[in-house]
Amino acid sequence: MVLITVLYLLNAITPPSSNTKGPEQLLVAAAPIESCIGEFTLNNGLHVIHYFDSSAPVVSVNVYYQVGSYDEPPGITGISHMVEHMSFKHTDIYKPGDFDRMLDSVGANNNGFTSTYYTGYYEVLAKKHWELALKMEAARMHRCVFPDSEFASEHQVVAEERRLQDNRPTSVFWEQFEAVAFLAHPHRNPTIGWADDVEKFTVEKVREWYKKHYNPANAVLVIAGDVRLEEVKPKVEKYFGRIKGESVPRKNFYNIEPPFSGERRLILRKHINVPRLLIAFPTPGNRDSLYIVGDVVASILGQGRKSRLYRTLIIDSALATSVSAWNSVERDPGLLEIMVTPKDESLIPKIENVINAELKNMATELVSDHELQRVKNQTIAASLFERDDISDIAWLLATSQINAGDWRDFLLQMERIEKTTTSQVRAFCRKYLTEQRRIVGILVSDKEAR
Amino acid sequence: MSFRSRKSFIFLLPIIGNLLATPLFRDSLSNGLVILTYEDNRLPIIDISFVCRSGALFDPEGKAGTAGLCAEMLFRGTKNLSADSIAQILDFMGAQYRAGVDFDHCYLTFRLLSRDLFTGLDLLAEMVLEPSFPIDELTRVQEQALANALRAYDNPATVIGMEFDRLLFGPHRFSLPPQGDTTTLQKITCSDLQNFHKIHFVPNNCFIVVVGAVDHLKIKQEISRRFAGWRSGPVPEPKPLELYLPEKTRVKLITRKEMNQTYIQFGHPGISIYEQDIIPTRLMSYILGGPPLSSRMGLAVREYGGLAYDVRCWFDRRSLPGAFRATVQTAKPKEAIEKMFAEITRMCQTGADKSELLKAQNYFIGSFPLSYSSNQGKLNRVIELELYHLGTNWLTEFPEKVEATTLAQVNEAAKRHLYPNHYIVVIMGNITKDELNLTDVEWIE
Repeated sequence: MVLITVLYLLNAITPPSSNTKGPEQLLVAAAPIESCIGEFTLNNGLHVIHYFDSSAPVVSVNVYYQVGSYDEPPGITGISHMVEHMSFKHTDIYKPGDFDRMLDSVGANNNGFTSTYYTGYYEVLAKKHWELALKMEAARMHRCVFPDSEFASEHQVVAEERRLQDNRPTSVFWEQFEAVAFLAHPHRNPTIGWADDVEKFTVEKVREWYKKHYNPANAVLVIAGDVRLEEVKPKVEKYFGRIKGESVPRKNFYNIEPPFSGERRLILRKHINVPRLLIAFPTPGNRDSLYIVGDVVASILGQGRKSRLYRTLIIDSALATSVSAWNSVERDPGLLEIMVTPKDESLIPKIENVINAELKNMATELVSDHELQRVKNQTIAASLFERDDISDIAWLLATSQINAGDWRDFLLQMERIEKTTTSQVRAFCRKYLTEQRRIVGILVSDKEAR
Repeated sequence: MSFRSRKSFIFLLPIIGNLLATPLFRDSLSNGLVILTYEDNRLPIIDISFVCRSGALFDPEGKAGTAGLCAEMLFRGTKNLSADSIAQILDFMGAQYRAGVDFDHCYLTFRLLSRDLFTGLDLLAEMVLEPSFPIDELTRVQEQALANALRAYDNPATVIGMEFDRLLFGPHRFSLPPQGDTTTLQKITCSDLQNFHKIHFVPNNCFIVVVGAVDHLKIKQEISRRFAGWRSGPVPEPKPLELYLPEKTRVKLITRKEMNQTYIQFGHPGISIYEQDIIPTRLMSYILGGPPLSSRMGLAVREYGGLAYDVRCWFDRRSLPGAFRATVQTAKPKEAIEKMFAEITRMCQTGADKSELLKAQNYFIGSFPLSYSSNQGKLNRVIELELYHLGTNWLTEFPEKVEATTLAQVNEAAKRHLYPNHYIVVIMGNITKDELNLTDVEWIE
């Protein structure tokens, strides 16, 4: 037993499969994901993606609209989220509460969510009921009526949801950090909207936003699970085929953000017990071929015990209790973020020095082949793990379609990760992770408030 | 019966469960270690959990967090491998892994590619059987746990939950989170972890669940090869729990002037997961305060009242009786709490109606299979059914039991397990006692 693991460790630089004997007999081959996917587009512009998985009699129906906080002009931030709330209310064929009542009665899990680039709705339910979800989503797409009385109470609910954010110090920290990191780009606005904007919503504005964005040509429908494409096509045509489609061109904000002319710094004092340090750098969006290198860099820097910052901040210098890094990027340029929990707020300057030194190191020296291979192995494994849950797959397909215009984008990004070289990693760090482009956020205790 | 069938029958004797519907197999080694395998060959991935039936309930007095730290420390070094070596192997395989704890168990879990199964099992055996509990790693793990415990106090919802537990459970272990608290984590030593491991990590107190592209016979053979020499030992019983119902509602107010919303948690003693009417009670609780958009509390407080984004209630799911709890966050606490109290009283006095029960039953029955359609879902379900001795037929029995539940049983459960006017209430926000204007309550200073 020990021998096997030690041997494995010694050989850890080679891919895991090459040394282990025996488990191969337990291997089942995963069908290439492309072979499980079909797609078609209705005349009204509704793009439909189908993923077949018959391992459980379950279907996941997902409608994603290409509208989110990204599309909201100043003054109405959060309105996509308000529409999402209202869309569970009245339609001309369903009474308020029917969505949940009917879906609950067949044991479906359902919800909606609003993000920067999309508003999504999903139902996961037993195969025999999947058509119900389709019918309800079609109603949501064009039959919502938003009566004044229902708006009034739901407006209060959303105001309460907004207050939840205000009372969580870390939520406030994130929100203000984004506003410091992005001066012009709508990434600076919270998805839920600024409190003042939320308060001023009117039912007319909400109806107008719904009317503009909710139609087949501005949506992606993903159906994943135990239903065949031949069955999907006529049903989708039946429920969605007659809805009028009108494409809603999305504004390209790519170049609006002014260039960096030096470090930006936010210091926030709140009623907290544990300080946080957040350091971020703007990185390319997913339309840039270098985008995925940001993921690799983040992983090498701060994902797991074998990452560089875990080694320097937690093991070697013992300045922090946790560190993590990730590349928070979708369509437009986003941020590569490093989050640290310092042992004490007095240690923050030292921690910054350690991080700066590590970033400099990565910008000058090549990372090891082993570090890079670890990240590649993790990516390959994660891509298989992701296929375990049809809802995860549906999300991946829908967001790839919305953000890149093609669900195949995630495959392309996988290929790019596999081809990433140590030189690219160094070049990325040299170009993007510079002092001039750094945004630092510090959340510390407001001792007076305590 | 043909020979082939008879042979299969003998061969499959150790198998319990609905073989045709569910490829779930339960077996055990002679030392008492139970192995559960759920075969699912869709993808070349495997999920493994090693579960020790002793969770935070068994933490030594004054050292809450011991079970959790013990589980975490199994990743931090063995007789032959350092923490770095373990991470090196797992990370390079692309594995996902973690340790965890709740009151009834602590566990290690791995998600691997099938090709790495044997390496994963090797590591698991080494970690469970020969941990070294190195002091430098304990210091790190402890500091991290302490930071997490402190950080929990940054969230108002956690603060009121912890205060509620303290008031309801008094000196019992339930009064602190399973992961321990700021006052207790620092006191735990390497020797505490070694003792915990020695007493509780015995094969007859543990089980292994494997889900994925595996053959159950092969799994048994491989686990046996690694764990058969592990010696069983006496298994301790948890300390009993005595809970008292407050004579009248007791309210603790925590003033936070900077908050623009009031957080509320209230409730009273709950029931054990082993209680005979657990299913009627769960159905009743779902009708009362399950989904925030369609439960009775949800309709009164959120949908019609517009008073809150989230409102709900539930019974803790634990071996010993936990709590019945209800929570809400609102700018109008007086109105919200009155509506929630009223709904509980109404449920006790007039019960649910047939249509509500039918809807709840349909939801439970319909959503149950969804909860184990993925491998990770299967893993969680199998852990639950083994941990609480539900039997491997539970996956088919549960929907049947739900369907067989009558309205009378549900309404009886409301009368038996809900105690209006005997609550512990914790309120936190920028509000005064006068503004809350709660009558017939005792204020806790």
